[in-house]
Amino acid sequence: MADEIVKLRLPSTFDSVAAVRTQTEALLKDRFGASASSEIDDISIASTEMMNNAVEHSGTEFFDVEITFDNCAVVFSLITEGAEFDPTKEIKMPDLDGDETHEGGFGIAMVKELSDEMMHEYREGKNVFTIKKIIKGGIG
Amino acid sequence: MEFNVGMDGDIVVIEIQGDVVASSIDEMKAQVAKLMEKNFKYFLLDLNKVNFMDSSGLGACMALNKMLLDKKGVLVLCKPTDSVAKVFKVTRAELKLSIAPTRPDGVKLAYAKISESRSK
Repeated sequence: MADEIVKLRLPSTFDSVAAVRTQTEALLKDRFGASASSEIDDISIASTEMMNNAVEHSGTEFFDVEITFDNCAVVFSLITEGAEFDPTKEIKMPDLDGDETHEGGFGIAMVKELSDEMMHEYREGKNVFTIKKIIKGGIG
Repeated sequence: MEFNVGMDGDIVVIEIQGDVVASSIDEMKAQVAKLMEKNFKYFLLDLNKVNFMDSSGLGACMALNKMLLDKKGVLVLCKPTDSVAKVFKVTRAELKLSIAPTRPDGVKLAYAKISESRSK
């Protein structure tokens, strides 16, 4: 796909997560317009959860982001260095049907729910966590 | 994050402005805890100015809800933006949290919950 790629390298902090989210939303609104606001929300929420997970658990100083998009889909990749860690394993949304109260465990399950594809690869000492979101209707 | 705090009868109404995310949830919890220390236990959180909530923000809402229920209090959330409503929907948190589409509906729901909790 890839007719536009944005690459960012940022300190692994929650401020960086907010900065990437703001930039991603602006880029996608500019590209796809208001008709894609639901899909943009999905990407925004899912990518934030991916980055939060990295800030909280990767233990690395920086993370890298690659946002690739064409007229009908967006691919968001988060790259962190370090030991292999696959967040896509054993994903389960906390069960809220019963009496039990859950206060956590929603993050990666939300990524899965809100993306059309989700994958993890470990290559050259780096974890590459990727989601793809189809923009219904697209543009062009 | 900014808070606009007011009263509607017995209910503390807090309008939150800003993102409810990992880096800001302690502020929100502290704001409610401060009011709980003064024996307020019926809360309506107006989310119309919250553009974004992540799973940490959701977890904070779930924790506040549990904390207030344990004290026979009430938490109602109202007027979530589309993005925030999506977080409640996709996680099915709607099953546990009391959420109203508008502030007047939220006040009405809070009084219904208060009356329910008093009758128990």
